[in-house]
Amino acid sequence: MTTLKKPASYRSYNRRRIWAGYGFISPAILGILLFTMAPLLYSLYLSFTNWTVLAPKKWIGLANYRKIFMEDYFFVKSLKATAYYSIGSVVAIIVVCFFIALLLNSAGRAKAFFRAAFYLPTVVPVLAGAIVWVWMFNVDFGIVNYVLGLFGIDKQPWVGAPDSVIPSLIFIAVWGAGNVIVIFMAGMQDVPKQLLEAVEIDGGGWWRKLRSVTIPLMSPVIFYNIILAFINSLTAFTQTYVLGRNGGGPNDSALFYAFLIYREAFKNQNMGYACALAMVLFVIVGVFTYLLFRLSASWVHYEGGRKG
Amino acid sequence: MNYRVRGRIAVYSLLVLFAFLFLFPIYWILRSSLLDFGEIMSYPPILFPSALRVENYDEVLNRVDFLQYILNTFIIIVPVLVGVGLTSSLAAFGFARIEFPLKDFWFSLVIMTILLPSIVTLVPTYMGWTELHLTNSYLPLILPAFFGGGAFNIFLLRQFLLTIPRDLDESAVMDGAGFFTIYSRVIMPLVRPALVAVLLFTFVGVWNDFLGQLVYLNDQDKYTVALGLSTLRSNLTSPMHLIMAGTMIMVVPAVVVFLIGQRYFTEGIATTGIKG
Repeated sequence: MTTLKKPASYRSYNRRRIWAGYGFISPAILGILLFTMAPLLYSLYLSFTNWTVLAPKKWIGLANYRKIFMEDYFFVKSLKATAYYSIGSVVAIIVVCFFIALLLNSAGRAKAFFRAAFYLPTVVPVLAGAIVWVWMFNVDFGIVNYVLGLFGIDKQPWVGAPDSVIPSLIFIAVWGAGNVIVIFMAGMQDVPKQLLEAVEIDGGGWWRKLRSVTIPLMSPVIFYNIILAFINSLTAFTQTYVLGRNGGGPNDSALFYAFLIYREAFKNQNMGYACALAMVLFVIVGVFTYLLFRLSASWVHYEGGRKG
Repeated sequence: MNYRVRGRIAVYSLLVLFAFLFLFPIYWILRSSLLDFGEIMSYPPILFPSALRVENYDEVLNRVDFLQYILNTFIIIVPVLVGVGLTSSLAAFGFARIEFPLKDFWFSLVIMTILLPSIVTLVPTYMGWTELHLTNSYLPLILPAFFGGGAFNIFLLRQFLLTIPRDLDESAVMDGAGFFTIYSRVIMPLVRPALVAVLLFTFVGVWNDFLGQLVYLNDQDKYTVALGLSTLRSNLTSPMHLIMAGTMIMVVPAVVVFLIGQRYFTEGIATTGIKG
């Protein structure tokens, strides 16, 4: 038998609890301070300097930012390419993966096999995936153009031309998004069968079921996947690094923002300028994430007020 | 044929078509890695290699040093797994099982770091390691794992911990157990599936990482598989069939790890997705 504890020992238990709480989370908090907060502040400071590693740091005020917004042709180009890829890949991933998850959900016994098949490309290293896709997309020797040729379709340039490189990379992004399918499938299992049957009794077809039951009930999961795919699209680097001799795609048409920062910092040694670029990205991500969360209030429904 | 049967057939044929498209590139790496230079450049492409040229692998592993690169990659992976397993589970336990002031504030900070693309902090973090003269070593790739082990992993483990009934902790407290005992003796054994999922994700994550390794490692004898493959590819004299053998070497461990731990992968992903 345990005896009831006296108030005094409660107080000491409380103190112990607070110490323990902070003890358990302290490595993670230190990590955030050391590897996120400190770099952010350091980056902000460096963005006002012209540090080039070899030469000593010199404070140059807003000159880096002025250059970004007034003169840098690559910044604008990169922003456009990144926005195109980001929006395109998020929309394509959500639509295609939702559709495949719907199919899988009605697949019965073969479900596990197909789920594994769709997830497999997600564990294939991005570098390996990019290398084989570039090879498959090759204009003259690639299997893709060969198969299209069998159907009488002319050879397409794919990753080899400025107009088609980003759609091709979006295609590759969908290929590697099997985790989104798995998350959608798990969410669909929570959609109550009775609700779907109720629509059926009212004479509603599959579209009605999708529109009035599945999509509204799945909205938190859809939102989660949009956020994840959005952040993921902004870190796209490897897929453009492997395009061509110097990366960035033909004529810098796939000059993604992450690649631009890398190129300024590690190829051109403009550390200060790269930090300014990173701060601009930080603000852009902040604004867009905020907008996504704000907008979500109007279309994401949480059951019984369950918190997101 | 009635409506339902036709629907089934449509579903299955679409699934087979999609699955074929998803798996085909992996098959294409395998077939390309078993051809010789003439065969790989032939058009129309050879769909099934006739003579399986396993020598390609021998050449890449030994002459191009991939064996060394594999070893190097594991020098990073093993300590990272230890750090992630330890510190992410500690943090998740703190957030899920202990009440303390400002807990919600710290947790939202953790969540916010998930939303921050890593490229934003890459350059200043690199400069920090430069000041410490620790670039061109494995430390910048290993040490962060011992500080929380990744916000996403903390999130995943916490979600899983919240599903375990509180009565367990309370009865242990009644028996006089401290928090660390509850963590190590009561809770950890119960979260093994989620922990395995986290470790599998981490393995694949380090194995697949490219940008971090590209930035921090300069000497070829320190190269990882990703850097070795990238160098092999950018070398103009490298023949395509050897690049493909190198690519296959990079694909196989990730795929094997996935196939072994498939159950943990899908459960782990589902845990983060539904109970947001």
